[in-house]
Amino acid sequence: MNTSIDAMAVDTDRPRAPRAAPHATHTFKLLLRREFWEHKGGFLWAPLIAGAIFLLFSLLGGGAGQLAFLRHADKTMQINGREIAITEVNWGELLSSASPNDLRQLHDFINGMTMLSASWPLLVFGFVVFFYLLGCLYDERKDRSVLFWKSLPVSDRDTVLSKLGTALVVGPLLATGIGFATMLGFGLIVSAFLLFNGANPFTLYWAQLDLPLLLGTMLSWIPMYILWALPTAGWLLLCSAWAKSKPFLWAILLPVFAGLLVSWFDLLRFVRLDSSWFWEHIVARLLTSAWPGSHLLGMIDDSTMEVASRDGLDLSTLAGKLAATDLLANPSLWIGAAAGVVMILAAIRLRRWRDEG
Amino acid sequence: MSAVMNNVVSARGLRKGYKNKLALDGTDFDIPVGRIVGLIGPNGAGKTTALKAILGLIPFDGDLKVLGKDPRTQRDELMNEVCFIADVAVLPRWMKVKEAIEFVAGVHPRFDETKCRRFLEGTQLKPDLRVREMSKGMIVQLHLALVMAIDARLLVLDEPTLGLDILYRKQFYQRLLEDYFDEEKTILVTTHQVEEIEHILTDVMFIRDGRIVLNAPMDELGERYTEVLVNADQLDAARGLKPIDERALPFGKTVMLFDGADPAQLAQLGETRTPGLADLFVATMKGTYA
Repeated sequence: MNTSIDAMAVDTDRPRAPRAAPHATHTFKLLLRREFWEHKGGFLWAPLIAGAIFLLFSLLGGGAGQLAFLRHADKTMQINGREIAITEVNWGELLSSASPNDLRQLHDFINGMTMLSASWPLLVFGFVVFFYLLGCLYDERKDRSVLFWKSLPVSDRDTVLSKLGTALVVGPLLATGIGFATMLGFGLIVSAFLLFNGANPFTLYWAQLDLPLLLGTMLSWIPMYILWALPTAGWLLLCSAWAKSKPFLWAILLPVFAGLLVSWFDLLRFVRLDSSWFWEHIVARLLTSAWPGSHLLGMIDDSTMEVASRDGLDLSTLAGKLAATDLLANPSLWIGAAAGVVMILAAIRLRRWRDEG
Repeated sequence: MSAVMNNVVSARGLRKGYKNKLALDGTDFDIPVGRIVGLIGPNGAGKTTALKAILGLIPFDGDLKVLGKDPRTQRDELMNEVCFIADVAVLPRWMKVKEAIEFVAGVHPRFDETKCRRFLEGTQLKPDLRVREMSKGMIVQLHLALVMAIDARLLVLDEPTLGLDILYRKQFYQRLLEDYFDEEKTILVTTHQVEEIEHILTDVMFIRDGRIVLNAPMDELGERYTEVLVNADQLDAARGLKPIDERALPFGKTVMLFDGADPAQLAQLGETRTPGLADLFVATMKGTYA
């Protein structure tokens, strides 16, 4: 064994194959794919399972409702002054004779209810993205795999941006897609119950369902979400790149203790601000802004929101709210986003120079 | 100028301090192209720090050029031509063999996918196997296959075979020589298993307390250092020639190590031979942990 190695070592004059030309690379695509491989469980399976569980409960709840409904089959309801047993109601006839206002309410009720069924996958995504951001630069240091990633010609900037892109673009798109699939599944369950009770699901349900509006509404929150979530994403990435251990505790406790200090000593009185300002604009923005829909809270003081709650919210206004373009005029959005960018730059720099010992 | 270009690594006055200790203390060295250099030193001598400086993983002071580039400021370009195995088993545990290949192929312009698959033929590393299901030896096998399929100009290996059994260790260095090394490539390796790599090294550097204390081609070592098996009656004469190390053997003989002594004179003292790298290392590092 040794002698053969010896011989090889001496033989450095062996002819050498010409150096192959470098081939094209697709670094960013591969970086995103790499994140998906590693976090498929969080970004794909978790929302999918949440959606499936919601559908299962809808089915169980619907079944229970159906049983209750049948038990009270002798009950009657008042329709246009006539007494009709509820199992005998002719839904089609009822629909055709309904007033435009009733129809609009039915339309909004059906679409609103269907849209709510998408909230479960998005809720789960909120948890996933938080812990993903908190772990993505910490775990690679902990298991030392950062030494493998850094042995490849991939810059720290691209690596961190791919993690940001996974959290704020790929993840939300997946969750939204799964949410939309859950809505369709929910629609099928509703149809089955309608059919079972002798109603026509096409006229009563699907014809009322505004799928483009629903899908549009569901996608419209993403651009604003990206901007709104930047401070939280930046803060969590920074903690992830910086903490020697327990990034979760650092990420939570630093802003919370800062908030407590500010509240106890009323530090903000010098700048004529209430300490609740600090909680709302610093602590909450650092910790909760990556939650899908949290940007809607940024509009709570908005007069349009008050108008909406006074006059009742119809669906197309709600869709407009989710896109939250009003928020573009809100300085909190832009200052937060700028702070997020600074923290992301700091995270990139930390990843570049952190010595893993 | 051409001398500079022929050096893959050129270091002048490297300094790097950790909390209360200098890991690199004015380190100077050059590594020419087409060599296999062993960087050998006791624990805490600064080996890993030197490698990390070369790879641009840590900040440091001093002047360092790797392939003509400064690893502090030009790391991203540098990594197209430099590859490293920094430690055993740093491949991410969730990764599958096929994912590792797809990823490296997608981000490294000099990675040859067919070559990599050929290296993995006949091993137990099937495409769907995950790193977490592999033994340490298999992980190193995969890492080596990935790295060897990259046509890099400098390969840095830091204790690449630590904790592997002898079969994997032998296979590791053999493959590196047979399927990777050529006159345009340079390999820089650190290990404590000196005996196992001394046959493949072309050059050796000893590092101690952050300084290079010996830097020589292997064949020069043979000319400079001589080991003599001295008989008991010649002991005083031999000590007069100032051996750098001496150790007693059973049956009254003593082995002495001489640096640059006259070979004819030494031959009269007893049987002479070229010392092993390990003995030379021990003699050079005497008193390190004292």
